[in-house]
Amino acid sequence: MSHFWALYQTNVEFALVGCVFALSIFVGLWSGVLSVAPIAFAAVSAFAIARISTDHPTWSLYVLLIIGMVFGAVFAYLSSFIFLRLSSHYLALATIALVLISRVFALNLTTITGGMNGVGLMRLISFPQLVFILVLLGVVFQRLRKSRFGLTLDALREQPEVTASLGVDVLKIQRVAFVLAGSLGGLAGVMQAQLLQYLTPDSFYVDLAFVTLASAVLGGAYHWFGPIVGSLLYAALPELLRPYLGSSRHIANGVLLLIIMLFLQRGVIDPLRPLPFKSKKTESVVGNE
Amino acid sequence: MKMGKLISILALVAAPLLVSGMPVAAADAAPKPPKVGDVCTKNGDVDGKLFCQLKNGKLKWNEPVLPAGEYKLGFEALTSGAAAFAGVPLAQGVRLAVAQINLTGFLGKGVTIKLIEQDSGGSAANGIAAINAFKAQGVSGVVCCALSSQAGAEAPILKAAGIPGIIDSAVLPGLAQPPYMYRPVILLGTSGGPNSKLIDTVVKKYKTKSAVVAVTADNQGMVSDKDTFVESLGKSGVKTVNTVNTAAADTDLSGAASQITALNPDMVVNSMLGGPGTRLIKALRERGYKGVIVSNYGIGDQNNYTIGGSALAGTIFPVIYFPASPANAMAKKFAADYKTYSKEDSSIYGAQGFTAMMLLASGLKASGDGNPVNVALALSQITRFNTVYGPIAFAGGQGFLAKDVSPSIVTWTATGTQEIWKP
Amino acid sequence: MQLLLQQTLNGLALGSAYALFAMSFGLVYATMGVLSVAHGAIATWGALAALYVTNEFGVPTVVSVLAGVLFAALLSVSVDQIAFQPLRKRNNSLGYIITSIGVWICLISVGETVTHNAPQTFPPDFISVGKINISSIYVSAPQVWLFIMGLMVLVVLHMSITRTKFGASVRAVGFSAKFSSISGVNARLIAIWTAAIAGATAGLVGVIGGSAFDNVSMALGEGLLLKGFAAVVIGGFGDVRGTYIGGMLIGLTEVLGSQYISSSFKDAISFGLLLVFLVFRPSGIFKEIKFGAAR
Repeated sequence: MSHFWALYQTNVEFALVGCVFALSIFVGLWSGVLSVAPIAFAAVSAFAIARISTDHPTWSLYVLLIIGMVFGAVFAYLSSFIFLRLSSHYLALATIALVLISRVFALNLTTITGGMNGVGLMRLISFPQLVFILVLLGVVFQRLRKSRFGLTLDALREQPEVTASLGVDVLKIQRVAFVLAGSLGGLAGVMQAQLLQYLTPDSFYVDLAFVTLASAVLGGAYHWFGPIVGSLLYAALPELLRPYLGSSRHIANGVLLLIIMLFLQRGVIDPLRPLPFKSKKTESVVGNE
Repeated sequence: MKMGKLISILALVAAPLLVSGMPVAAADAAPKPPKVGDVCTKNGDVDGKLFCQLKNGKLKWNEPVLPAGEYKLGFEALTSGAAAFAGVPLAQGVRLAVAQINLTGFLGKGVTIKLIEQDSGGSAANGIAAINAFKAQGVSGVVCCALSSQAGAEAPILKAAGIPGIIDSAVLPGLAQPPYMYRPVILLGTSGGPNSKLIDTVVKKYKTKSAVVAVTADNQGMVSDKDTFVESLGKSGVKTVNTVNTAAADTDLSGAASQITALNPDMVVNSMLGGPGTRLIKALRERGYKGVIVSNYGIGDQNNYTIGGSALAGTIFPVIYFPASPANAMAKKFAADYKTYSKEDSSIYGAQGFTAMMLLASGLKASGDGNPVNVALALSQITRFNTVYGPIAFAGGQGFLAKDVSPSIVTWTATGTQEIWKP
Repeated sequence: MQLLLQQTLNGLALGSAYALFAMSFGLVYATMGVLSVAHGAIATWGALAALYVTNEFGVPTVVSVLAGVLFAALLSVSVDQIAFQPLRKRNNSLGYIITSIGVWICLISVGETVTHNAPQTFPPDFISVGKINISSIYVSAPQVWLFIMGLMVLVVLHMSITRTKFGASVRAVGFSAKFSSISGVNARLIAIWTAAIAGATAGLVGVIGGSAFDNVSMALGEGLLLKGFAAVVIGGFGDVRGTYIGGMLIGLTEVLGSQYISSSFKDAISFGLLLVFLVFRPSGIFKEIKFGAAR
C-alpha cells in the first residue's frame, strides 16, 4: 500500500486541486452561467502569491490561501460587470476569450510573472492540508445546498424567468455566484502553484479550462459532489491505463467523456436519478434542461 | 583542491576505458557517507574517505568500486506531447547508453543498471509525479528535464529528496545547481561561445554590414540566443537593423518573411525554434531573399529538411554533434551504435540523451555505493568529462566545451545532408 | 508603399484562412448551437488525409484536395452523429461542449500518434498554379487560393442560407429542431448536411492553409480554432458576412500590426481586439437578430 501511495501521491494531490477547480466552474453552472473565468482568476492569484510568498517567506500557508481567494473574488467582482450583462452564448465565449487574454498578459507583464521565464515558489502545503481544504469545501457546499441561497440557485438554473418573476434579483444572485466562483478559482490557483512550485504563462490556459469544465460536467453539474467525482475520475483514468496504452492513454479521457455524456447525460452524480434499489421515479419537470 | 581535481580528471577520463580492479580502502568499519561539500584536504583526514586516501604523502584518488548488483536510475522522458520529436531521440540515446553500460560492464563486475523510464508528456505535474515515483523506488539518480518549465518544477523535489538530477536538454540559463542539478547540455548561446564564434567567422568571410534577427519571442532559450547573437553582431561591427519577433505557435510567417525581405539585410540570423525557423527560411527564399542565413543549432534536426527541402541549402549553423562528426572516435562509435540500436540516424538529441546517462552512470560508479547523496557528491567533483562532443569541462554543474574544442560550423546541402562549411 | 501593399496581401491571405475556418465554425455554432472545440482538429485531419493521398498515390493536387475535403466532411458528420445527435433529442446545450471536448481529445490523441508528433508538410509545389511574383510583390499560390476560396465560400454560404429552401431549413433547425419538424423539415438530415458543409470547409482551409503555412500538425488546427473563435465573436456568428469580415480583420491586424506597431504583441492585438468587442459590442459587427422563446 505504501508503495502504491508513493507512486501515485502526486497524481492524487493534483487531482484534489483539480476538484477545487471543478467546483469553481460548478458554482457558475449552478447559477445558470457557463463560465471558465475562474481559470483566469486562478492565474492572477497564483502569480500574485508566487511573488508575495517569495517576498514574505514567513507568511503562513493559510494567509496565502486567503489572499488568493481575495484576489480571485476581487477580480471576479470587477469583471462581473462586463460579463454578466452578456447573454449566455456570448458569456461563455467571453470567458474563454478572457482565458486566452490572460496568457498574453502573463507573457508580457514580466515584472510580475517573469514573462516566458516563469517564476518559482516554495511549497508550503501538505497532503493532509489539501484533504482538509476539500473536506471543508464539501461542508460549505452541503450547507449552501440546503440554504436559501442554494435553493434560489437551483431555481435560477432551472427556470430563470419564473425565478425573476418571483422577485428575485437575478443579476445580484449571479454576481454573488460569479464572485464565489472567482474566489474558488483563486484558491485553486494558489494550491496548484504550491504543487507545481514553478509557474509559466501556460500553467493556466484553455486546455486546463476545457478539461476542468469537462470534469465538472462529467461528474455531474447538479450536485456539488459531482465535480469532485468527475475530477478524480478524469485524473485517475489515464494513470490506470498507462501500462496498457502508454503515451496514447489520454484518448481514454475522450472516450470517457463521450460515454458519460451520451448515457448519463446529467453526469455521474445526479440527485434526481433513482438509486438502483429504489423504484423508478417519473422525471419531474425540473429534470428537463 | 588542485590535487584532488587533477586526480579526478585522470580517474574519470580513464574510467570508460577500464574495468576497475583497484583495491578498495581498508576494510575497517564502513566509512561514514560524506556530507555534500566535503573535500579532500591535504592531510587526508576528513569524512571524504570514500574518495581520497593519503598514500606515501600524496593524495590519491581512491577508485571506488560498486558492489555487484542492480542499481536503479530514473528517467523522466518526453516521449509524448508536442516536443516528442526531440524527446523520442533523447530517450533512444538514454536507452542506448544503459544497454551499452550493461553489456560492457562499464560500472564494474556484476553491476547492472535498471532504467526506470516514465513519460511525462511535457507536463510539469506529470514530471513531478515521475520524480516522486522514482524516489519511491529508491533510485540512485535521475535523468530528467527536457523542458525548462519541467526543470523548474522538478528541481525542488529532487533537492528535497537528496537525489541528483541530470538535465538532458533544457536550455534556460541557471538551471544547473550543484550538488543536485547538473547539466551537460552545451549552451551554444553563451556569450563568447559557439554562436558568437559563428557570427565572427561568417561576418569576416562575407564582410556583412547589416543584419536582421528573427526570434521566437515566447521561448526563453531562443531569446537568450538572440541576445548573444545581437551582442556578437555589434562586436563585429554589423548593424542589427531590426529584430523580428514571432511566437512559437504562429501559423503564418509570410508577414515576417515579407518584413525581412523588404529590409534586405546582408544577413539574416535565425534564433527560432527548429520548425518555425525552417518555415521562415523557406518563406524568405521563396520571396527571393538572396543573402546569407545563419542559424542556431535547432535548424539541424533532420526533420527540418522534410519541411524545408532545398530552401535550407546554404544555411550556416554551429553544431557540437552531427552524424558525420569528424575526428572524434567516440562520436563515430556513437553514430554507428545509435543507427544499429534504433534504426534511425542519430542527432543532437540522441547525443544529449546519451551524454546525460553516461554522466549519471559515471557519478554512480564514483559514488562507491549507489547512495544518491554520494552520487551527488561524486558528480559535484567531476570537472572534465569525455563526450561525443569532445571533452567538456564542468563549472558550477554546467558543462562547457573544453577550451581546446571548437564546435563545427556546418551547412545544409540541397540534398538534405549536412557538411562542414567551407568559407 | 510597396511594403504596405505586400503586407496587406499577406494579411488578406491569412485573414481568408481565419475567415474560412470561422465561417465553418460559426455555421455549426449559429445553426446548431454547438460550440465544437473539436473543429480545429477536423481541419488538421482533412490536411492529414490529403497528405496521405498525395504521398501514397501521387495523384494530382486537385484530387488530394478533394480527398481531404471529403474526409473532413465525413469526419464532421460522424462526429455530429456520434457526439451531438443523441444530445439533440434531449435539448441539452451544455452537453455539446463536453462531448466536443471528448472528441477533441480523441482526435488529437490519434493525430499525435499517427504523425509521431512531428510536423508534416506538403510536397513543394503542391499548389503551384497562381503564384504572383511581380516586381517585389510576392504572393504564394496557396495564399492566392486561400483568398479565392474564402470569397467563394462566403458567397455560396450566404446565398444558400438566405436564398434557398435548404438555407431556410437550416435556419429553422437552428432556431428550434422541434418546431421545424412540425413544419416538415427533417431536422436530422439538415444537421447532417450542415455538419458536412462545415466539415468540408474546415478540411479545405486545413489543406490549403497547411500548404500555405508549410505546417500540417495538430498545432495548425488549434491555432485556427482560437483565431477563428475570435473572428466569430468579433464578426458575429449569425451572419456569415460578419464572420468573414471578422476573420479578415484579425488577419490584417495581425500582419499589419506586426509590421508597423510591434511584432511582439501580435497575440495581444488580436485578443485585445476580441476583448474590446466583447465589452462594447458582444453581438459582433453584424448583430445577430434573436427572436424567441425564453432561453
